[in-house]
Amino acid sequence: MDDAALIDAIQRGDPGPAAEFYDRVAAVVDRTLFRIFGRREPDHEDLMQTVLEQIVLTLAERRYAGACSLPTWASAIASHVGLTALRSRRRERLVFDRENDASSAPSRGDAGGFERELGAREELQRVREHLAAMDPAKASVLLLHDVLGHELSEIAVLTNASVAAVQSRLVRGRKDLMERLELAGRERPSTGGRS
Amino acid sequence: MTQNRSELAGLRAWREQMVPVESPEAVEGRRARLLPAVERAMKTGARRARANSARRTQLRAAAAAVVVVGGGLAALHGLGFLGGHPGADVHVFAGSGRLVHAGHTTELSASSRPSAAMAGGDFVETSPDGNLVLSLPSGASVVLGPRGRAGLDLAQTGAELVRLESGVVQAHVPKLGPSGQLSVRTTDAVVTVHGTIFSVSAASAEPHGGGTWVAVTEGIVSVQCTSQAEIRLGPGESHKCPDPSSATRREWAPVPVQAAEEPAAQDRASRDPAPREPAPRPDPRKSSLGAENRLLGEVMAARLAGDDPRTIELTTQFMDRYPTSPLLEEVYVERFRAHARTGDRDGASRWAAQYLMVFHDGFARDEARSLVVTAGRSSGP
Repeated sequence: MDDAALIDAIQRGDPGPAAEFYDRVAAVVDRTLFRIFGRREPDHEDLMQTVLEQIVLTLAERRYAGACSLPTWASAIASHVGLTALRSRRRERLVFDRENDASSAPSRGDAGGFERELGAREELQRVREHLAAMDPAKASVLLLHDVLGHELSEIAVLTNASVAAVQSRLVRGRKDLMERLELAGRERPSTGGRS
Repeated sequence: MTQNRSELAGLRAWREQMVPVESPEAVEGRRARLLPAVERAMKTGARRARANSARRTQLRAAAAAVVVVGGGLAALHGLGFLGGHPGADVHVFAGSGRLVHAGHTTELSASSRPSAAMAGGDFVETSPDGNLVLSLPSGASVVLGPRGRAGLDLAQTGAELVRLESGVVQAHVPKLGPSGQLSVRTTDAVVTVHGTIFSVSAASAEPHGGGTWVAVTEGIVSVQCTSQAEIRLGPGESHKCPDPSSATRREWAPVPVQAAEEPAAQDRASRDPAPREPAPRPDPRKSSLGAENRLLGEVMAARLAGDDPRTIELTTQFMDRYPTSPLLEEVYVERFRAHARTGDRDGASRWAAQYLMVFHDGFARDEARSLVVTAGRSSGP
């Protein structure tokens, strides 16, 4: 069954090809969410379910114009849901973790590869935190382009924007992220915590 | 440049992060668990899409009607059939309030008669549990908090002036045209703004007390305190005018409220506990972010403990103490969610509507809209 037949079934409310639909998009949804959070979180399945339901609804509402492949569409929706969840978690951490930042930071006393790996992981986590704090439109384009590897033209279709607008968001998003990382880098030695 | 390379490397590392392959059992287990949800979504998706489409059509029709009516009124105004400057709309979204027009008082209530038209020279007042929003001709919205009294002046040039006599207002101002100007005047200060979000607390209002207090969330405002030079405030900055000796507090005269207009007992008790402890007065010169953070932590802890009445009570405390907090958005969301969990649909809808007015592009806007729409449908004919 090709994408068009699958979408037609969804628009008719026919659950027959549910398994085929799942097999077509589940892997890309799983990968996208994993990339956003860096692991499969305890609520990974809940998020996957949310994404799958969103995909079905957008297809039923004919918001998918067929300008990109179904897995690409699924990836875009997964990135949107994932980014929203990341922002929500960041807000909760701001409340609960601020006072524990210093104590919860892993020991940096060990030398060698372990420390480098730990440093890289922390750096990656910081990038995630800053992305979650950024303007959603810019963060979304940055995530889709620089992390998930979509083309600008594809992102333009996915976000219903012009290529020029997407390019502008990407440039401004990168600049914003750089500034945030730079600022956090300056503050870190004195505070010992993240921004 | 070194920094830039490191940051790009951070993004590249993220992009190249390996996604570990799961065991076939784990993949199959998840498939078995999620497939029923997908089937359900596919069964109901078409129906939900049709319902959403119908709702959008209704909204478009309503918007078109507003445009037609608005266009008609504008044409009549242009032809001289309607006199005066276009006025503002006042909408009470919590508790009660009143509109004073040419000596005539109109009682307003969130539950029975929430809206009215307001002209230049009119006054509005809010009860101790009242909140209302003024939608001004410029597109700016001004939320007047409990125990507030404010008047409105509209100039032919397009300038708008809110005269704040008591209470606290929070203003959201879009980009105004070259002749547009919105000012808030208190007994001892004038705050003038172009395109921003800010709060003004009248000289006598709790929790700031003393002189007029101004806090800016976005953009830049100018503040002119009596006998002081004009100063400019940027995002995150606040300023308190010197305590004016002449400031007197206007007491709210109780409005007879019909039994049907009383909010749910639990909601009322949580919003207006008696006896009410006077809210602590944070010093605007000191950062209160730590205290705000702790109080929001208590809100979330109460929510996690399933204690919704306590959650509502704590959000009330937060809003009273920190009306311009950067954490306010989360507090609003916790508030309407707590009401929704207790089954108080009116409360949930009211606070969701307030959230949308204050944070129209907020992270929970879809959820808030859904609550407002659901309440609107259930209370409809």
